[in-house]
Amino acid sequence: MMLQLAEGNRYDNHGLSEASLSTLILTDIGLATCQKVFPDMADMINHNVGTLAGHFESLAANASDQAKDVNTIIAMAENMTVDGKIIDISEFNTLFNQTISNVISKILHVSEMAMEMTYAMDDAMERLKLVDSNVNEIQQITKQTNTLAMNALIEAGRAGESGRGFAVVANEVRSVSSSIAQVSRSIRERIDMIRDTMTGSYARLRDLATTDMSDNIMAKEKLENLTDALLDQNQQFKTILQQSASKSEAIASSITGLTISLQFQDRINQYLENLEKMCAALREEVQAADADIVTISPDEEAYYRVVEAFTLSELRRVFETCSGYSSSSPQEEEAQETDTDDIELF
Amino acid sequence: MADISSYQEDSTLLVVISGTFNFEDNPQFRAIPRMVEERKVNHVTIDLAQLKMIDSAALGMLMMLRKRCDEFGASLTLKNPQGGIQKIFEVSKFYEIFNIVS
Repeated sequence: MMLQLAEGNRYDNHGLSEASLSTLILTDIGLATCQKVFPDMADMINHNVGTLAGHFESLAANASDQAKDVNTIIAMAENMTVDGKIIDISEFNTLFNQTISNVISKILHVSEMAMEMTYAMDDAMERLKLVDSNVNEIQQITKQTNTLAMNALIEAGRAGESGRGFAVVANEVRSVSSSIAQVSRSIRERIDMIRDTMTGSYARLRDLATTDMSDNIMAKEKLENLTDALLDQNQQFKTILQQSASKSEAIASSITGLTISLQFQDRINQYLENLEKMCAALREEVQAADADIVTISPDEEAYYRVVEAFTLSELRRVFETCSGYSSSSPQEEEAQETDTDDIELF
Repeated sequence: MADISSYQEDSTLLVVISGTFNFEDNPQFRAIPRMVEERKVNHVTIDLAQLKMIDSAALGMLMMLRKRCDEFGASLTLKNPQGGIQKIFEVSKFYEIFNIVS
């Protein structure tokens, strides 16, 4: 059975057999389908490859920015800004040591001075002891003077009237020696006060001279360990960051390679263009061969065998449009219903 | 308190300090600069091998002794400081200002 021809599609028998004509007509429809599909394919490839290339370029740019950022972090990790000055972290130990040494040399200077003063104070105490024994002597002498004055008074009493003048002198001597005794008591009190004050100062000097240095030494060791750990950690960070930077660079260069690989589209475009041209040339040949065919249609079974070859309804519709047959068989309708129109995507 | 003993041989004074050397030892230690002044000592060696601890007051005393030795033209050597004492000497820059031997 032959298919019904739509208006405007008339083929003339050119002295060929029906079977040959049917095959020719189907070939022509196939070529027309290719002619229509190839430019769409080219467009699709161009569009998608363009989008891909765009994404890859932005990926490459980001990866290379990332590498730069990581390198900046590496540079920053090597230095620290302290009071507006950039200091290399490896100089920290030296800086700490200098600071601690300065503190310690000041402590030692104070200790030395305090010890000097302690010795000076010892000397003063020794001299004070001498003064004390001098006062002791004075008190001894005053006691003797007093006794002598008492004796003189007794002797003056025995002498009667003639001793009266001597008694007055002896009384005066007693009063003088009691004044001296009073003065020496007061000197002794003051010496005791000075001794107390000096003993207090001695204790304060002792505190001033004595600083437990073990805290300073511990602090120095702790700081050294801390900076060593910091330096070590920093080195590890640096290594990891450097690896990260070179990975980012590698990614950027791979992506650039990918973009270059995507240039295969030019080749495909050329292939498709060539194939399209070949289709056009072949159609001209076919149409020249059956230029006068008007009434012959392709064999229906053969037509549907070709239609069945399409798994994509989209392409099948293009083939049908090119064939010019508007009718469709019940078989085909059923097929269209079950057709899921799925295009497998990866 | 430290144990401080001294022995003189000709113009050399050997001082041995052991235990804990601190402020309390100043009356005893004071005898050393006095000996330098009074006994015509040309060289002082302080043996620290048995010294366990030292505080800043004691370091101050050593610094004073150094000053006295300079004044009286005597040389001063610190001998055999051990572990912790060595560390204190390092921190105090004693290795820069004293003649220290092991």
